Amino acid sequence: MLFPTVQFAIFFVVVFLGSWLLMQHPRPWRWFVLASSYFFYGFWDWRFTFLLAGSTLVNQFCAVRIHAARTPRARRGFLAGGIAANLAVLGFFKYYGFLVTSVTSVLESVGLRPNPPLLEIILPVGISFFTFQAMSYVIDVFREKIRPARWLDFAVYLSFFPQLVAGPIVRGHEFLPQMHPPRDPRHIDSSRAFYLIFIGLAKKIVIADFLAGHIVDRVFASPGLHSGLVVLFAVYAYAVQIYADFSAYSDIAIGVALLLGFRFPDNFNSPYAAVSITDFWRRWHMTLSRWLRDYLYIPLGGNQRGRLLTYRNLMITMLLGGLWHGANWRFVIWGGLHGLFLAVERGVVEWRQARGIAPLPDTLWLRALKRLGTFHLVCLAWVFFRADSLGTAWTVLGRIFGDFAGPATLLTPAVLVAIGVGIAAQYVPRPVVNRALSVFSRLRPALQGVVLAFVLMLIDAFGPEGVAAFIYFQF
Amino acid sequence: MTEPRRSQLIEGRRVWAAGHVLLTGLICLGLATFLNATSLLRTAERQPLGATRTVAVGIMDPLADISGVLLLDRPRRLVDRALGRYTPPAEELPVASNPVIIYPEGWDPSTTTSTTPGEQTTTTVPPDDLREITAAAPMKLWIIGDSFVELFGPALENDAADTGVMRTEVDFRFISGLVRSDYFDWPAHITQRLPAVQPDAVVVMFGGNDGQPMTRGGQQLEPDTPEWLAVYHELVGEAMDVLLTGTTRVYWVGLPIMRDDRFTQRVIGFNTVYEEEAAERPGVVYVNIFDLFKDENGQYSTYLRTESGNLLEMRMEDGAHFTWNGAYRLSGLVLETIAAEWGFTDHL
Repeated sequence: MLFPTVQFAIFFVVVFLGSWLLMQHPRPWRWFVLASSYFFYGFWDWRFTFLLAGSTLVNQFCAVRIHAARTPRARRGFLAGGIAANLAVLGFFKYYGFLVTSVTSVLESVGLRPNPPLLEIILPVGISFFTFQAMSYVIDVFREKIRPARWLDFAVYLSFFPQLVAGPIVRGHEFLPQMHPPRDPRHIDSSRAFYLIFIGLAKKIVIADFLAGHIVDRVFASPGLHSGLVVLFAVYAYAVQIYADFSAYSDIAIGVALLLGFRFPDNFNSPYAAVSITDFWRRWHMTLSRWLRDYLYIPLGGNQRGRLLTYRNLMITMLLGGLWHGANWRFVIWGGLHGLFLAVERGVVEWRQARGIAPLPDTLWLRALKRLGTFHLVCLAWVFFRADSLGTAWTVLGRIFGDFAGPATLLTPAVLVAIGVGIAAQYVPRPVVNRALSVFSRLRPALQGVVLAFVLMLIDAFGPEGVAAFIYFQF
Repeated sequence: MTEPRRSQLIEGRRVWAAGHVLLTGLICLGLATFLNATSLLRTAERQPLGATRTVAVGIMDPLADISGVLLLDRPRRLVDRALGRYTPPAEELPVASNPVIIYPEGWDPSTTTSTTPGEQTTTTVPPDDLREITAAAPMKLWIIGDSFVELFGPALENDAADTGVMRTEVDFRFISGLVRSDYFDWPAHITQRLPAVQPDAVVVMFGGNDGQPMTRGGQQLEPDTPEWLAVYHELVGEAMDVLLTGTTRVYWVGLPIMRDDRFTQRVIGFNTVYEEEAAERPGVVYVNIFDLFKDENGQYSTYLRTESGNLLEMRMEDGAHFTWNGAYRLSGLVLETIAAEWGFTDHL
């Protein structure tokens, strides 16, 4: 069930009503939300719900056993078992095809002709998100940051439909405590929730889907047939498209959860306004960044074991972050580039500090230059992320750096406006948004409804027919 | 606007009770339904024939009428007009018994035309006699169809560009086909586009979405029945005839084996229709790809070996569409077929 559909609108009205009517009855409320979430997930393929239920049982079992274990060895054993089970599920569904074709290719190159079992595997939607969420829960119980939740609470946490299929990756300590005091049905931050939902719809339907259909898909399908200028703008357009698409899902998820009385962490904060790659990762997919930091980078040693090991840890974290997106060398290169950029940035800062060189003054021009440079480095990495093969990625770069002239029929005013709006939106000051929300929140509910209806009409009118799936569903 | 108490504020925003929020949401959805009624009705009508469509149209039809009476459809109409997307209702369209086609000056739809860049000369070749393809007078290939063309089209486009003697144009529509002209009217689109594209040959791939009921003479025909297949024969034949009014060759690409056995059985029926209709028209070549996507045991497989022996993922998770690897596997076959007939295999 996609967010921008009539089905979801009807589903959510029912869930909203049921959730607030049952709010004062915690147990029925939990069963109701659990059933709603499984219905939402089963709408894609009912078979996936068994995977979700299985993940719930295994992870909660491990968490409970870790908490009850009397020896450190037993605790570590259940932790390892939980992590291994999660990685096994992720590996089987997500990396099976990659492993089969890669291993076969290697064996054939040395003269063998293996006959591996060629299973027809369907990747369950959102598996990477809820698996990472479950792993964070088990690890946090092991680290004694949280106590194991009740079985029903954990089941609701893992399957909660707003963030189930594409994040944000919400931690146990952020979600579980919100379940205990019943949320007050008289105090809903509805203006912020509606803002997030409608800005998400606009970003997805008006910007992301438009750019995909009008320039990105066409150019990345046949980059060799377009001039370097068009290819360059297609890369910019993809940068805007993936931000608009992915952040749209997060915005809608956060807004929908807010209407049900839950506060989720932010997932994006104007990433293309970043002044460095380090800054970019504080603004892009923030819940994945902090997951990788807390459960991978720091356990590897973080920056506490010397300079070289810090670079190694950065590189490993970003390479695995790339692989999380899918089993493909393109994602590995994407992660590797970001790891390289982060390491170089860190190296330059340390080198300057070691020589007592003062930091550069924070002028407007220098900041603009840094933003421009960061944006282009991010775009360079996006080329590998978006291209269907390494060959296509090289062709894209070859066109940009080698053959800039040629017709530019795909660069229509509407495409340029969409790219411009997508980038300019990163620079809208928060106080401006807050002021607008404050004014909107004081309108009578009926008037709010009328305003939103006209906004919905405009989004529908500007968008293409039909709704494409969100890009991050595939991860 | 009312002034809220301090306890009703979060970061300067007024909070509301669940009942008020529900009211806001219902007014928004209700009013938006009337404002977008025409667009929603169109979407409902384009669904496959069946209970869901009947219910959706049954709900949206009267709502669209009410929206019109209350003038609530006017804002949307205004926006659509400003965006150049306004589609008048069927009753407002002029009635024409036959489509009027305006061809560019000097172009005869019964022949193939090629303009050599720089020379600005036009050579006209009889339809049965394929002209010589050279770098100076490259072949113009139009690749059309449904979502199967999404990757196959660009793959063929890329391969064709490598020959140095072909120019291509891809034109595909998701969830389109030949049985639902109310969703997308391919014959009308082809008729309209042919004079502008002026293709030497057209590569066509349809059928993925055609397995749905049709209504003829007030009677609903179910797919795979003899009556349904008889009508499908007519539709395929009509599409071929329309294409042949503006091109020399039509390469009608059949459908591949599918993961789902029932879908495969349907595909076999569709391919028979394409093959039989093509056989009746000298200008149409049926390209059989059914076996191209079978594994060594003659079964469907997501993974297939290339000629060089590499095992690659050829089909998508849906068990139907091609991956890029699959698209290039198909593109190679189609390009070889075209090059062999037009005599430029040395450019492959």
